[in-house]
Amino acid sequence: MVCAKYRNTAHITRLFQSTDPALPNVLHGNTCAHEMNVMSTASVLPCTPADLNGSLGVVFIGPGKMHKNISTPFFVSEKERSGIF
Amino acid sequence: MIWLKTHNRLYADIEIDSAIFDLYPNDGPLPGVEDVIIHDSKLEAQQVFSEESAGLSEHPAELLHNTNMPVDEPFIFLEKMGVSDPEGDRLSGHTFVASALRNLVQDMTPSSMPDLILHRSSQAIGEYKNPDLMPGMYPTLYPFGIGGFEYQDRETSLSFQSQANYYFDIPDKSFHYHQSFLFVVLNILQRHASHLHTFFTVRKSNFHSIAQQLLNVSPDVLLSTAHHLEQEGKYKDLNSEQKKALDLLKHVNTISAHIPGSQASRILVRNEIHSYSAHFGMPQLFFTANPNPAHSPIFQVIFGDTSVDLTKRYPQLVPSCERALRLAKDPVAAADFFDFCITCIFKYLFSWDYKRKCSTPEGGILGHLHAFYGTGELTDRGCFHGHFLIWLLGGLNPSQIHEHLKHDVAFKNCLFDFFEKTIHHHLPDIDIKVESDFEPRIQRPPLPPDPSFHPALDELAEWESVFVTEIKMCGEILQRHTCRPVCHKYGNDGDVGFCFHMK
Repeated sequence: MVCAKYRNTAHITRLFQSTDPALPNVLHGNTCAHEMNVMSTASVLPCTPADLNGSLGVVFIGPGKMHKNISTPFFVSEKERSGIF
Repeated sequence: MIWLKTHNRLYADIEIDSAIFDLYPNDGPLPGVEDVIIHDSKLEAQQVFSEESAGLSEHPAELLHNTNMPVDEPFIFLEKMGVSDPEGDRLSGHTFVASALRNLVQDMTPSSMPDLILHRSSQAIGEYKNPDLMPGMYPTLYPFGIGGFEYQDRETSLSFQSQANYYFDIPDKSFHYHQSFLFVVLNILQRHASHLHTFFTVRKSNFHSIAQQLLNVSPDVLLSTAHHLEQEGKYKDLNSEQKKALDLLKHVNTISAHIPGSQASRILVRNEIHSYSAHFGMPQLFFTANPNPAHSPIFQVIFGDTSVDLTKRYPQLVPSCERALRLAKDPVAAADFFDFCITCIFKYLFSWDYKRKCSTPEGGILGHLHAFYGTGELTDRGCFHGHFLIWLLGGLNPSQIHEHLKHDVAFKNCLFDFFEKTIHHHLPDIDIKVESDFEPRIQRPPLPPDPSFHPALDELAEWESVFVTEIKMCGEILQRHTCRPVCHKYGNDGDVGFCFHMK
């Protein structure tokens, strides 16, 4: 998403926290992408984090807080990889 | 980015702003992503999940409890699943009618033009016949900016759907694993179906007069009316010719039966079943197949695990947690597994000859099939199951069966014998202890003796013993009822579902 020239999808992710108190960081859920009617054409890349956050939505269901290091492929940044690719 | 700028033709003119890279951490959460996360601590996660994904078998996510991962490390099971827009609800009714009007005069419109254009920003990128669309959206899948859909100068034309199927069939699994490619492809396919397969139906009694009136309406009037509707124009602003054309629509219905997953397509399925019943009579059997990929050795092979030896009775598989993650990672392999299972069931158990579209002369375990009709459903647990209606060759309608049962004892015995042999609701009466953690689905079935080698009697007796034991063990684990949320899915609050006894 960071390097894509055309971007027109919103990503929705829902995560359920494990009910086992011993496994607070085990999550399960689903993710999907919806097309939006507006499509921006980038002339400068990469996209800014604010641009990307505008098309992400995450619902976290569970008694605890989401671990700050929890990352799915949608909201992780791999700077080194983005720089090369 | 630098690589793309050098090698990808779509990125030649793109300016790279290295200052933006500094906004990202080297390896970590996207800055600001915490603001888009909604925490819901009031809902009871287990209850919500159980209610929403109630099914006959356990959800693959339940296998995560078998993980040996360190407890402080995040561990995520993420299915690629969501609701799309099969009805095209985001498009207004006017847009649909305009589309249908255009289809009436499709020969008058240039074939290279789409008959419906979605309103987008001033910098919209067309999704019809635009080979740059997918490479521009997914540079990791199309690093050189080539291989997009619907090239106009291609020697042999290739449809969007055929090319999408091809991408999901090639050995490179990048398309399988991508988090949004399959959603976007499906959405585009459904939108194409919305635009190209919206037609009119009309009552039979009105058909001739309506058809004649429609023929008298000029294509220009239809196109201008369609344009007016698309621009949200008002009825009173139409001229008399246009009003006359639009008034004809009061007598016709707009249908969209070819859009996968739409309400109209469900009605089409029902109508087809009615047509089958009118032609073949009442179906004799209703059959549901629920192949479970999470445990199957075959699914592991389809997923790409070449270490699984399907010739062995007890193939070595990865742990259940890893199998669940594989299922979530590759929904295309799950769909291929379902297709493979259903094809095998009908080909080898029911002896259906797919090439000749009829039963084989030898017949299968149900005898000879006359016809069958089936639909696939997503189970909300990473896999599919199918419901099938089966018509048997020589099968009778219920009234004929009742008549024969009254007067023909031999027929009665034969009928009961058939159902007793094909459908059991009891387990073999043998004394065998089945461990609760026994999982037959990770095994391959025992092989019966080959009849062409004329097996000896003791060999046959041994096979009979193995077979009965296998039924008993599988039945105890997989068939004995345990109450699950699915039992109460359709309002059976105080009762076990399907009217079966608890035991």
